[in-house]
This record gives sequence, structure tokens and C-alpha cells, in this order.
Amino acid sequence: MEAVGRPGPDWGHWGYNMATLPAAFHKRTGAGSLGNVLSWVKGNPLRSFEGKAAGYRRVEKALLVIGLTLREMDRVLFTDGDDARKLPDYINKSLLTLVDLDKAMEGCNDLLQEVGLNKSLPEPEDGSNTIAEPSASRYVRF
Amino acid sequence: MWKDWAEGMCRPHYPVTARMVTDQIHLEFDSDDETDGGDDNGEAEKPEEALVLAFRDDGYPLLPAIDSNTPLEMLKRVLRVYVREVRSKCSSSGRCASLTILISEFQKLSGRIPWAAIRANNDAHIVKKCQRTKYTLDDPSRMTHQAVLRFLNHWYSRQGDKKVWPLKFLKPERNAVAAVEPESARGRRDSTVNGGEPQEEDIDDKGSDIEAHEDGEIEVDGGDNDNVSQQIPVEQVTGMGDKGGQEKVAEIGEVPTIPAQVDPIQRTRFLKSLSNYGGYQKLIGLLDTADVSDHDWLIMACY
Repeated sequence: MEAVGRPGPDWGHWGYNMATLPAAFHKRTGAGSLGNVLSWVKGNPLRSFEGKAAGYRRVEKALLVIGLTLREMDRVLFTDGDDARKLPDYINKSLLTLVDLDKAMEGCNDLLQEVGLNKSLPEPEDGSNTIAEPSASRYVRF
Repeated sequence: MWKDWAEGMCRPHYPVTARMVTDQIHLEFDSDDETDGGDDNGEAEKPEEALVLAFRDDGYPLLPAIDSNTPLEMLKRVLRVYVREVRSKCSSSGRCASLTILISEFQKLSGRIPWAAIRANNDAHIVKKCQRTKYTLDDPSRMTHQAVLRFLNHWYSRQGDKKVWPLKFLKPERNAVAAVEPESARGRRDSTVNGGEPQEEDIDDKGSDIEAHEDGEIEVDGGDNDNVSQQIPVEQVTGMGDKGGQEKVAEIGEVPTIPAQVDPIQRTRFLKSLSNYGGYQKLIGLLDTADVSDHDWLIMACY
């Protein structure tokens, strides 16, 4: 058997049983951290294997890891008030910043480029030819 | 056989008889297996994919005429292949590019047919007038002879009358995409896709009507209030990460927030709900074209 890409975060599977990512995600380095995710994405988890494009399961898993990462960062950066009080302490005290979110989205875009989808990615400020994204504008510019 | 569509080739047009379809099936078998003698009764178990339906000029699949003497196995295969062809049609033509983002379950076009989702909510997947009050559309292997027969016969008769197509993903773009597409783009797409001709749906969904059938089933059409976009609001199926999106997702079933609690058929919806970042949503489109095979299991085990 041959591994494709770099080791992914230990929480990146469908059996993960928490609504939030573990405290390890909010550390700068280490297994399961955002750094681990970015490194994993950089290794292109969707690369071809033996001439075959990534299959459904692999795409699904990659999306799970990236999606959970983005959701967690959204919580860290954009949740406040009562909603924030419901979150675990380590999320409220997380050191992650908009710069980290920017890196995560860059990784996402790099992956799109790797799989050849980025060409047709709609221009966000244009607003046309894109799916409805009522709150996505906050992601666009910093 | 899917390649034919992509190249714009069409098969014989309807009315299509069961015999014609049977011929095509054997034709397809012959091409797959040169050793086959072509004897109708001598066919051993053949792969389901070998069944070929006829197509209309614009590439839409057509149901063959069937009757109560048609073997159950054949009925089930026709039903299964028909649904698959329609999904494939949407995919190969590229017409529903934006819908692959909007309609989660149906648009995994190269993946499995989401029978469980269809069973759970026929309303979301079948045009109201094409439903059967006494029966639920489900994985054909779980349906009775009578149920399959009722659906196919009903859809076939409507097909002959050029009425609305039974499955909602056949003509969803007019309604669903309208909600997110600029007027100018919609105009362009309509003219290129339909050649400027009115769609059959237009004929059918003006005003309400009630149809009674021999089998005692009654169809009630909601008329203008019964279009696709109203039955499946765009926001309902996108499951975007924003709160508004999540509330609407709840209307058709809450998506869990914990991966372990996500039912396999809800995975795409769950993934879509994680973030509304455009790049991520674009990546989700990969699920529509990803190969569903065991190939990745070896790789998955490694990381």
C-alpha cells in the first residue's frame, strides 16, 4: 500500500464524535493542529494515485477536514455574545487569527488549482455567476 | 453508451415499444460479449448498465411502453436505468452546473442514486402529478411489481402527452437557478439550452387540475403554485453555513453538527453546511464527478 499526501489530522474522519475540533487544533503545531491541516492540504490529498483521480471517499474526506477547519475558524473569529459562551473555553481563548483563516482559504484555493477547478472560480467582488453567499463577503478581503 | 450523449447522438425517438428496448438491450449485450448467441431466452445474468433507453432529440431519456406482462426484473431495471439516465443527462450536458451546487443529493450524478432520500421524501424528487398516492418511489429492488408498474405506466402516458417530466431534476434549472442567477445569464442559458422553444412544463403547470385514474388514485396539481422552486427552495437544499441556511435545512431534516452523527446520505449536505466560503463550495462540486469505487479504500487506509 502506498500513502497519498501527508498524514491528515487525527480528527479528520466520519467517526469524529465532537461538535467542535479538539484543543490541539488551536495550537500552532502538532498533530491535529491547524498547521497540520495546512501541511496536509499542501501535500494535495486529492492528487492522482497510479494514474487515477481521487475517488469519492477521498474527496469526501478532504472536504470534511477542510470544512471542519473552516467551521472551527469561523467560530473562533466570528462568534460572540451568547453563542460564544456556549463554546468550549479553548475556542474562546484560541490564538488563531484572520491571517490563519486566510492561510486556510489559500490552501483551499491551491487545492482547487491542483484539481483544475480554480479557473472557473467566480470573482467574489463581481457577484455574478456565483452561488448565493449572503455572508461570504467577510471572507473576501482583509 | 454515455459517450453518445456527450457527442450529441440520439437514439430512436418515441413511441418506443418494449420490443425495441429489448432489441437494444441485446444489441448492447452483444457488443459487450461477443460470445453471446443473441438468443433472447438464453441470456444469463447481465449487468444492469447494459439496458439502454431511447432518447428524444434533445437527449432526454424516454421510457418504453410496458405492461403487466413485462417481467418484474425488467420493470425494475427500466426504472433504475431511467433515473440514472436522467441524472447522467443533467451531468453530461453541463446544463445543471449550478444545480450541482444547489441540489445536494440528486447532483452526485456519477455516484449512487440516493434512493433512501427519494424514499424519505418523494415530494422533493418527483413532480407532484407524477407521484402515486398509493405507492412510494424507492429503490426498485424494494418495490413491488404493482408499484413499479404504476409509476412507469403513469410516467409513460404522460411522456406521450408531452407533459411535465416526472423527476424534478429534469427541468429544475428554470426555477431553482432563477433564484441565484442574474436575469441576463438566465436568458442566455434558456436560449441555448432550449432553443427558445417553450418547455413542456409550461404546457402542464398552468392552473390547477385534478386527475382521477382507473386505479382510484387522484392527482392534484397545485398549478402555478406547484413549481419546483417553491417545493424545494434553493436555500433549503444548499445548507449554507449561515444561520439562515441552517434554519431552512431544518425544514427538510436537521443536519447534525457532529460528523459521527451524520447519516451517509446526508454527508454532502453536512459538508455544504460547514462553510459558505466560495472556494470550499466549489471543491464540493468534485463530489459530482468523483469516481465511486473501491480504489480509494487502499489509500484511505494509509492516512
